[in-house]
Amino acid sequence: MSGVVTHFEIYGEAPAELAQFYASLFGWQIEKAPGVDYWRIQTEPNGNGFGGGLTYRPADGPTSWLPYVTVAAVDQALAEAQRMGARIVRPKSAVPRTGWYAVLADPEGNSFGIWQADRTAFPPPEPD
Amino acid sequence: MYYTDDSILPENMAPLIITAAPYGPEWIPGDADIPVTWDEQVQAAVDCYNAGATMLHVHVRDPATGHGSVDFDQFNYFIGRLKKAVPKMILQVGGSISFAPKSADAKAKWLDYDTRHMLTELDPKPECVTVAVGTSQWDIMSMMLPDDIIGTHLENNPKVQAAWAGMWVDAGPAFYLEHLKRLRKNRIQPYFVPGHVHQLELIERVIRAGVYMGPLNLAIAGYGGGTLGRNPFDWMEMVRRVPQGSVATFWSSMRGLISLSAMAIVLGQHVRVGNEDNLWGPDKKRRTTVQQIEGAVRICKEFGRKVATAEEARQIMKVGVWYDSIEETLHNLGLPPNRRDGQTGFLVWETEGKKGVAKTGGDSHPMAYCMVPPTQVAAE
Repeated sequence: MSGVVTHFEIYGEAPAELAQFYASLFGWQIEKAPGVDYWRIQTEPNGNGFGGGLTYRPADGPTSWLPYVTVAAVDQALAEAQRMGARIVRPKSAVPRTGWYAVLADPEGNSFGIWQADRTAFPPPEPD
Repeated sequence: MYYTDDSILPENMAPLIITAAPYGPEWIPGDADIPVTWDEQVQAAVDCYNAGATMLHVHVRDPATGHGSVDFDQFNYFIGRLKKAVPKMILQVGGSISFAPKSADAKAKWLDYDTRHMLTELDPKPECVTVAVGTSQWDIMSMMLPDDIIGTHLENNPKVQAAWAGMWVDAGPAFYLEHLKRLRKNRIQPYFVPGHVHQLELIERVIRAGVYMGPLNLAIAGYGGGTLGRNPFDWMEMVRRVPQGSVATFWSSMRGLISLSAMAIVLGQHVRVGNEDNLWGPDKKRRTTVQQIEGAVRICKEFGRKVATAEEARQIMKVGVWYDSIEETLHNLGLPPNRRDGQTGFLVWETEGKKGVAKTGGDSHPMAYCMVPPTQVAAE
């Protein structure tokens, strides 16, 4: 559903320790995804709560939580946001076979992500 | 290599080692049979092994980004899973990787080539890591035809094509001397990848200098654009120049690989197939990695040569073997010894000088030189 805040991300230099911090503080269920540096967060048991993720801070990552808002089309939302004064922090990127996302800063500099589910999403490869 | 009369017979050839390269880092899933999730990447190895491949060329794709992984922990994770899923396969990790440090602390500590030398620290250890010796251009696009990239993201995409055309391999002595030292320390064998005869000469020099002391397993790399092209005489020259005791595999690209693989098979050399190198069959129809392995098995069997089991492949490549001296290495590789001070002439290993007895006939005119028939002939 477009316009709904669907999930959030938390970043850190030591995500394993940070995951432990939040698990202890809020009682969240946090599990590391196998083989990748990504910790999945469930804020309530049985998957009923808000979903989130925790990982290494990207070069352009904020020092605060990053909320993601679902949009119908990332390309269109990016263009519209820019037209209204937003700045692109991270351009459209892919989570393979899952969706597209981008990170923006609003006209006051607040960061937020946009998310479009798409089973065909895949980034172009990069030469070594 | 030196071919005796009987070297060319299939029953005298070492069984064929088929290397599978199913992780095509230059492609995306829409292009070919590219595995993305960890389970898919592991299953690709299992499928290749079941089809007849005994060595796996490993690239790691980060399932979270879809890009080639530069994450040291992901390599260890994936190799660990491969060791469980295909324990007999020889794992050959592609060496063109610079790992990305994750933390500010690591960024400060990892200098220059350290991000590449990390390959020598993989845990669990792969059997071998590919090592380029000699910096060179590696323009994979130069030998590709428009037909080769039909249906891939490279088609009608000059920007991406230009990026691949600009590829080069940074492998000067500042890199490879230290890399070989670290590989030996950690008992991971180098798998050399010379793209032309002068890189082969560099490899011989590091052997003669004692920088590397072990079996010589290598690719003969022909991707054009700075490496070998498709002129079979150049390939034959490489076969002629590789040491007698080495184990060589033909690497090339697209449909040219099919002809070169057939050459390799009938010459007693070894092959690498898979979507990293080729997407096509001889009929210009798509072939998956597994189908390409099956094709190599068919050609090999038709020719009468055995396809190696995993145990045989390990024996042929001397996996896990190291030598303790330059002389031992040269002797095992069938290379002449190093020259001693003041020694003149062409160098050979000292022997007792006795000539072996020919198996059946001898040369083409056994009696003509003396007109005296052998004893057994005269007796009849």
